Amino acid sequence: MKFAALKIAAVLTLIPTIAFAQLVKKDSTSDRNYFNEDGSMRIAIAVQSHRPGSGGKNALDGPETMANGGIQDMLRDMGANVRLSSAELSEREETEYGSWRRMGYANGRLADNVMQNEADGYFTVGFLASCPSSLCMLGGLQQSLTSTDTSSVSILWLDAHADYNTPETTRSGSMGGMPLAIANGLALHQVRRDSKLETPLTSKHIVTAGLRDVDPMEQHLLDKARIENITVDDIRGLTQNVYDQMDALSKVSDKIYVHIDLDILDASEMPYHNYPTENGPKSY
Amino acid sequence: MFKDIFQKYPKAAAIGFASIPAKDPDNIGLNAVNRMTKAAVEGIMIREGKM
Repeated sequence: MKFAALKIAAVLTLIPTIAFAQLVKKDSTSDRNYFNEDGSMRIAIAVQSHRPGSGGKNALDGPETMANGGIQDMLRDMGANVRLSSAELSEREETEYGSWRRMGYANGRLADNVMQNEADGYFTVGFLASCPSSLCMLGGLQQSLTSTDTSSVSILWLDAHADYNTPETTRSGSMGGMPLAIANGLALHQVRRDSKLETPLTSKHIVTAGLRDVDPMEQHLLDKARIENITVDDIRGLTQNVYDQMDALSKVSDKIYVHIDLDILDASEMPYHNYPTENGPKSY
Repeated sequence: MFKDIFQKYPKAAAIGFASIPAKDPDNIGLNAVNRMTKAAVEGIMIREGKM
């Protein structure tokens, strides 16, 4: 009798809690607006030049070069208001000798920028030195949600590689091959948390696309997690599978991050990439 | 594909490009990134009736 009364009390307490959680959902999609009253679009270019490596600073010029390579003028010509931010480390953080940790700090800075962009109504375009910085794009979007369910962020991962290795399965030992597994909560939790991705994504919040060079043990992990994939042919033909997977992500999340490792593109369009990969889709 | 995704899916909230080559003497990579960014932005503009 006493137990039944407690159960009823618990349910009565829960109902307003759930209703309140729905009400305070920070940033519902319908509220999001990237446009000024005059119709111009607000766009923020966010630059993260730090990457993990075996030592040294490991800051690359590529992201800055891209951010200043005509894209700002192109967007302004389209009538957009453009602002630029980059992940700067503090003096103390610069003294950190571990490149993984330093990249985590830089990721945290960029996550703050992404969160601020969302708060200010700016659409974020990220220029990232390496794929582990996808974590901060996700982290910033996750932090921008007021919902109590902060896992409600998804990723569409376009890459020739799955980057779904863990320290146990990696053949190269490179963190560059692990970010999707990190986002999924399989490994390196401190790097994820440094990147402000507090809650790992579930497998239902992840869709890969364009994979064509996956390690056997990595494939085993992907299969085990039942992560869905969009093939290169799906991308080329814009098949129903593209829409089915986007529908599925939309159903389970509030915000979707579209991540592109440039090696998704055919090697003919990305000849200077570190890992140019044949038989990819084109950018046009 | 990017124009379509950002046009049809309002929850698509950000786009990011990674592993940007340190050298790109012919601007092939740069042009590809600019094209994909433009497509995403056009998708949002169409979705919101601004294009």
